[in-house]
Amino acid sequence: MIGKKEIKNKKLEQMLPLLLEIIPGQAKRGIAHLFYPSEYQGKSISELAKIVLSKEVSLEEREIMKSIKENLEMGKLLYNGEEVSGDPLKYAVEQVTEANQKYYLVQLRAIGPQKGGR
Amino acid sequence: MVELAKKIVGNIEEVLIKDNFIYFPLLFDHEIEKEINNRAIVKHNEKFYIKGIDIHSLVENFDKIDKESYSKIQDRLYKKLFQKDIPHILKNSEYKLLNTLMLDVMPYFVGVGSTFKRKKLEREDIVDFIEKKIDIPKEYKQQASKLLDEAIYKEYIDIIKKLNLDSNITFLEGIIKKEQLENILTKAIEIKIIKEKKKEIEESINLIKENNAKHLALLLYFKNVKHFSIENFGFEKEESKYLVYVKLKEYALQDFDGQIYLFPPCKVGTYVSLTEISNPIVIDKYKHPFLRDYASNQRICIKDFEIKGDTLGEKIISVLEQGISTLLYGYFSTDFEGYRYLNGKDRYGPTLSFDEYKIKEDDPRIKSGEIIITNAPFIKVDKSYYKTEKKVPRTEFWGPI
Repeated sequence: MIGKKEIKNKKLEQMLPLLLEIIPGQAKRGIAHLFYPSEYQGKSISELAKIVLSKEVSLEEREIMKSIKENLEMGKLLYNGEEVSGDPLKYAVEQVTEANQKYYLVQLRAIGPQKGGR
Repeated sequence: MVELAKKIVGNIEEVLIKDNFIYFPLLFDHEIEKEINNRAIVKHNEKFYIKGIDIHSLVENFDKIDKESYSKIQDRLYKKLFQKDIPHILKNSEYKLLNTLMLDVMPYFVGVGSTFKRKKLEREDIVDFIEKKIDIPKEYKQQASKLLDEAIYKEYIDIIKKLNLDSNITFLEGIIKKEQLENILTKAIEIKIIKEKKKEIEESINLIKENNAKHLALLLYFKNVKHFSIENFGFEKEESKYLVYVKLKEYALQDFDGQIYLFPPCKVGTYVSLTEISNPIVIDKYKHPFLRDYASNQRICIKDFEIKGDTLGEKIISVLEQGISTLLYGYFSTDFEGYRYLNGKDRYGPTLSFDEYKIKEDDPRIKSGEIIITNAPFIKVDKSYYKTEKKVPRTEFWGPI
């Protein structure tokens, strides 16, 4: 993931699709959903996350979705260790597909803190 | 040669075989007659015998009861039947465990494949990924190619087929001498050994059929290395178990009064076998509010710890996740039940200071996002926390968590 500072310096003004991925805990893969500009413009990151979390998932993704939802029962959606809110583009990083198509990537972690103690 | 029988029946020269049990002779005693109805004592040819050992059970467990004798019988038998050592890849149990670590657990913690390609990870994708990351010595690749040729097993399968092992072992009933008992037991143990070898060969063939050369080479490599790591994930072989771990980078924790502490990197691990998974531990010498001492291999103190998941892979991931989550995010609650506060105030464990971990709020590593205060989103900071917090009496609790 890219650092916060780097994102702030970027001007994300292009009308690109946005891939939002929600990852449970320390996993490397999560549940992703591609939003076209008309679908994400004017919406907050929380609203987009709700859409991702309510989508139908494949059999292989069910376990990931279950972990995300379990974590969010007591936890939060974080970006670089901070709770997310507001404009999704604050957390976006410009990426290029193998077919040379640009898109914004937003990767959030669903963290449910495990209490220490007896 | 009555070594085996002597170990079982001692100096007794004759025993009775009845219903697949060895019955030992009893000295005559009038009281015994009263016990005749008891099925443990039988009368045969005017002599009394007491029920002793189940022969089937003895044979089935003989490898555990007398390893040395078992190995001797095995060596003698293999020399007699086979010209050279039987090739095999891995024991099924070890193979299953290694495959779980490689195909299920590792890809969870290590980035395999691109973010944009959302396709399901196939076995081949994971094998290719590992192969690119590590240099597998040629010998394992050559060994794997050889093993892919099923013909190498043909000789052994033909020999075993001729032995006709399908029927169950039956034992003739009646009085037998020690020498006869030796022959019966040896024969039964030989049949057990051959049956197991047959199963092992069949499993090896199935394994070959379902894997390609690259995958086999990796399994052979994993079996022979004591330690393997890729990015932040790794495992170490320890006798019949594996210590599976995830490396954590430096992170910071905030105390209830806002003070920030920078923690060094560490490895969070769990000991796993096909049947057991340990609680998560910190492998390195480490101190933390949820560890009792400043020592290595300490169990992490987790509230409501639970092994979740249906498969072994899911269970291992759940244990590691809970261990990591406790260390990184678990220090947040006002009903805090760890061993000690970050400011050194002890609760159940020995006093340990975290003073050397203190860093300032405006530390450049925190400001730049290089180091994350992992518990910050969850903790409520109150600058006067330690001034107003009720002093918790120190208890004498030192038991396991």
